[in-house]
Amino acid sequence: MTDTAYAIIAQSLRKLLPLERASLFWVWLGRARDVPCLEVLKGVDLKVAKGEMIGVLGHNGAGKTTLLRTLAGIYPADSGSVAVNGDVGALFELGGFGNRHLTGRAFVRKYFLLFEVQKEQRVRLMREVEEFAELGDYFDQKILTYSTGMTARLYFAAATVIEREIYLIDEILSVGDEYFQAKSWSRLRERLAGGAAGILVTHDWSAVLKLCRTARILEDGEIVREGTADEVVRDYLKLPIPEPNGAEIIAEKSFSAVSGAPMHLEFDVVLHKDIEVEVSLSIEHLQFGAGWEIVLLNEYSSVASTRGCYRLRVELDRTPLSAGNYLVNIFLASPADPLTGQRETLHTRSWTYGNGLTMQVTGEERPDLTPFMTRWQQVAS
Amino acid sequence: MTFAGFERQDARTIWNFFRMLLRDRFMGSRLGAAWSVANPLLLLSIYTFVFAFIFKSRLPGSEPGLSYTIWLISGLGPWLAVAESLTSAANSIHGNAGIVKNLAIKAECLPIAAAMSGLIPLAVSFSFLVVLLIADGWAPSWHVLAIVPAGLALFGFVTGLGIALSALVTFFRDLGVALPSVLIIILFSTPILYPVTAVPRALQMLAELNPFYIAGQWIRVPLLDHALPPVWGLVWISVLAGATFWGSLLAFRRVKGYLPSAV
Repeated sequence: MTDTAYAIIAQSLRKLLPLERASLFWVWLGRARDVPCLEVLKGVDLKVAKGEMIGVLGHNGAGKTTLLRTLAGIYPADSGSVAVNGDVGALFELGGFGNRHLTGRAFVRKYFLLFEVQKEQRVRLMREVEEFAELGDYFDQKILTYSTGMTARLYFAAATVIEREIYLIDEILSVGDEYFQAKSWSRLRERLAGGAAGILVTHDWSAVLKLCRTARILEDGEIVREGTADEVVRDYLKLPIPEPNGAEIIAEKSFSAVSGAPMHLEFDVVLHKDIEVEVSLSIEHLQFGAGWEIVLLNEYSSVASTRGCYRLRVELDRTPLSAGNYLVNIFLASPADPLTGQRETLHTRSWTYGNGLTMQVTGEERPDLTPFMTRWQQVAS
Repeated sequence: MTFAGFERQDARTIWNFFRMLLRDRFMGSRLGAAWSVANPLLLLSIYTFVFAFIFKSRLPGSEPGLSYTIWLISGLGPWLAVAESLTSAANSIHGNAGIVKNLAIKAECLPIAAAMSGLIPLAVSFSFLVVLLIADGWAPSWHVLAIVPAGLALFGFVTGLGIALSALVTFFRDLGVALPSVLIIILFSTPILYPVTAVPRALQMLAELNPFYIAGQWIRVPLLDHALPPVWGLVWISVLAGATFWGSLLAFRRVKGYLPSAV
């Protein structure tokens, strides 16, 4: 791809952050060029194509926020280069410009002033923020009278009201209650469906699966892994592959089914000792950048309690899934403790551990069948 | 078109910051913007009351009363503007950490916009002064035009100091706390509330070099005496203003990259 096909190109990006403020005095005086610093980014290479949203996973202190601030041009890079091709909406530390003595409306006005929103657009955008944040009469009250959730709603509504070509997003999608989260998600997807590109940095791997096709892992200032979102999430989680604990699932790596036709899934469960075993199964659909949904999930049901090999069969009269690739997870556990409701896990096959199973559904596209996300996407196009 | 590393659009940024700072400053108080007018008036009143009516200060060869009050306010008004500008500019980076940390801005626009906030007390005290002058039967002469270059030089000097302070306050937080006391010391050591002739002879020459005194004279003398102070003073404060502004800007830009992570 030529460079113009990219929204963001960062090359060998290094960023140092000063360790103590007072030493900057000598730089200010012109008596020193450097101060004691911590190397937060150690040569990061990153390319984001136009229309693409990538996830950057990392633990606290990995350099995620510094990376975003450097890409946004807030921190100058100490070496390396950043090229950003489009106008940037920085969605981090939402409300950072705030002053909790302002009313919701005054905050938004300040926001528009800072971002130099044209006069003729302000009335319309203000109404949009007001409607989206759903604060009612509180919109004209001081922010300090708001609950945490209300504040988050105001900030998110203001920060996303202006359409941008590039979004730099930092851990913001966990704001508000479930209703508002769903609303925030759909607003972001709307923006992305409009062709926006961006980076989502987070330690919330499920957010990466919901929004990004590809992802990176940032560790100690370096990109250590790059790949499709699910692969990267698996590596990020670094969950140890579960050892069978008295019972074991034996299955082919892949199942198949035909949309609308009867479905049979077969696998074996081996009980290495006399132990009561129950099984549960889920089928998940992972549609990168659009969503990650559990489309089928059954309750735990009893398998057996004596040593031996058992064949299990899941049967459905009609495969309620439209054509596509699915992920199958199988869980073996002891029966729930009648008092605590807890189960002891005996064996697990799941994509999050890297030992999961897949299922390929073939057949015609069936809009009446799951996954729902696919239908949503068709409407959007 | 660029000037000292500023581009045309930076003027709009500065203007927007100025409006934002004004709105922010008085939000959260019930009377809001009314305070920006009331504050300088209250200060002018208390100083006038203490100096003109308690101490019964008067100028050599004149009676206490209105003429002293006018003389006092013509010096004190600009000083209130200076104090407001310096305080506001010094805290402009540290106090707006949210903006500095989250917005890709030309950071030096912030102290400049903050320094402009002195224009409010200046406008208020000048309006008050003009009312008093008219009550005293005053008519302007062409000399008042001298206020413009003097005011610009003073503004440049104060803005330069403000840019320097705004960076220093982020490294040494204590400076912001000490600043109000420093301003009081400067006020009382500058011949603003008393004539320069009241200063001990040994210190008089030093006092006459004080840029705040000179700028004050260039506002006071044309207004009240319909004359001009010695021209070297204006030259001196203009040079000083240019050097301070340019030097501070240079120093500020050396540390600018560190500021978002230091606030």
